[in-house]
Amino acid sequence: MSKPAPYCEIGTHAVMPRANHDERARFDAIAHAARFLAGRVVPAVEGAYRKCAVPAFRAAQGHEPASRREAFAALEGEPSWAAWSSLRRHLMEMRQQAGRALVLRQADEIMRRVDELCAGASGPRLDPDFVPPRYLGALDQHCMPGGYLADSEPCDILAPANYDAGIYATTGGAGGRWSDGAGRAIVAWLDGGDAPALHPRRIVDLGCGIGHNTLPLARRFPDAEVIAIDAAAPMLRYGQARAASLGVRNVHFVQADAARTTLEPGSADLVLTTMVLHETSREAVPAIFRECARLLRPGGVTLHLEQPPFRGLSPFEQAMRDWDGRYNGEPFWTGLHETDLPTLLASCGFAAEEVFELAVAAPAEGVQPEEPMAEDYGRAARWYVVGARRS
Amino acid sequence: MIDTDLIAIASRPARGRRPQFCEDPLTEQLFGIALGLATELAVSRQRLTTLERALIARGVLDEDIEHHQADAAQSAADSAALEELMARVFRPLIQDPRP
Repeated sequence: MSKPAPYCEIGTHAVMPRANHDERARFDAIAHAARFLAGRVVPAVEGAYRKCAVPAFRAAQGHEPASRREAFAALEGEPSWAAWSSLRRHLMEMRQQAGRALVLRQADEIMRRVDELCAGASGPRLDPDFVPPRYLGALDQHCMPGGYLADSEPCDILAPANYDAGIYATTGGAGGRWSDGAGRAIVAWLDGGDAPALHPRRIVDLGCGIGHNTLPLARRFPDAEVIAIDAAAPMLRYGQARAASLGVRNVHFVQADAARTTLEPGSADLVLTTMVLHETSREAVPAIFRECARLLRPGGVTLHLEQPPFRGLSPFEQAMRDWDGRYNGEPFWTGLHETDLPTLLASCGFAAEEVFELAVAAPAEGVQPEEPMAEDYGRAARWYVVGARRS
Repeated sequence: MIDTDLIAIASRPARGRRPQFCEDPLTEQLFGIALGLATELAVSRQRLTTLERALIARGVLDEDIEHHQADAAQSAADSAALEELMARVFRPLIQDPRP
């Protein structure tokens, strides 16, 4: 079983919450528990599915589970599946508690450092009249108390600092020491032989969060202007301070709806989303695609990174991959992974022959020798990309 | 130690109906308690390990373990210890009792 990097080796910066001994040990334990569930318990669940759940389903229904719904029905009577699910949900909740407690005890100090780094013109461009998309305020995404907009939280930096400090534990360390595996995966693809040669002057990252996956692109293209768009002001403030403290100067954080930026048409060479579309609504996805088409100049590329679609997967794997949609505060997850994204992209301002699909993975990193991590359905540092190149 | 008011805020639940995976709600809660105990046990064990290393290395009791950094070999040992702990605590999940 592969091991996550120890928490003491993850990347830190001026606004990162400082973890004491027990907080580091707790995150190490949570990250190891996530890997244990993926590496040891999931195989036991799959074994029990084949050995017990499928025969029981066949005895009752006269056939094997043929769809995701039937695989769920078979799994729901299976004790190992209930135990794995219960622990996975509890682990998410415990990780939230651990991250929030870490931030709350030093919130004033983090806020002071964010304010220093965002003073004057160095801060993000916030819009005081901004009305966030309704889908973002309607729920607490991926079991994150207070939700993504975090407008009912006791302090501004709680959500982003908790996200920054805890994403390592949520993913079992799969994103690497900066939790930027998706950004590094895109850079690796752009630098590989299969990608069109791109010398971007402007890169737009839609739904950037705190910029985890924006910074690898900004570093790779230091002469490009990188515009990081997000709806949540706390994420933008923290992200701008984080980038500044890491010495990345060419990223500008801007508050806007990803479907309606105020950027000029035909002004960008690369427009992307990383693990964003599944947090948006059925109406928002095509609107975001149309915005990408509007923003790209000829020769420009749009990329959208997500976990793999359900099509072609076994009923069991679909059920495992739909766990987040059912049980982890991700109401748009199921619909997004059922959507034929290439066809949708081709109906939103791109020609069918401009559209492509890719599989990308986070390159290994030198913290520890990286063995392939067990498939942690919905969490692994391997992704599906739908994209288009504007001709 | 963290202020009890802050741990209460930290423990705010996410909005929405919480899924129940066990038929009995008490069993559902027990899974969470077992996971919490396993994690806090891991934290305690790590603290003892760190303390022991500091004592051996310095021969004194006032090593500031908040800033203790494990080296690569020690991190590997810690990682193995965590895996062992998980395997012990969650043994019922990887031992299917059915033939």
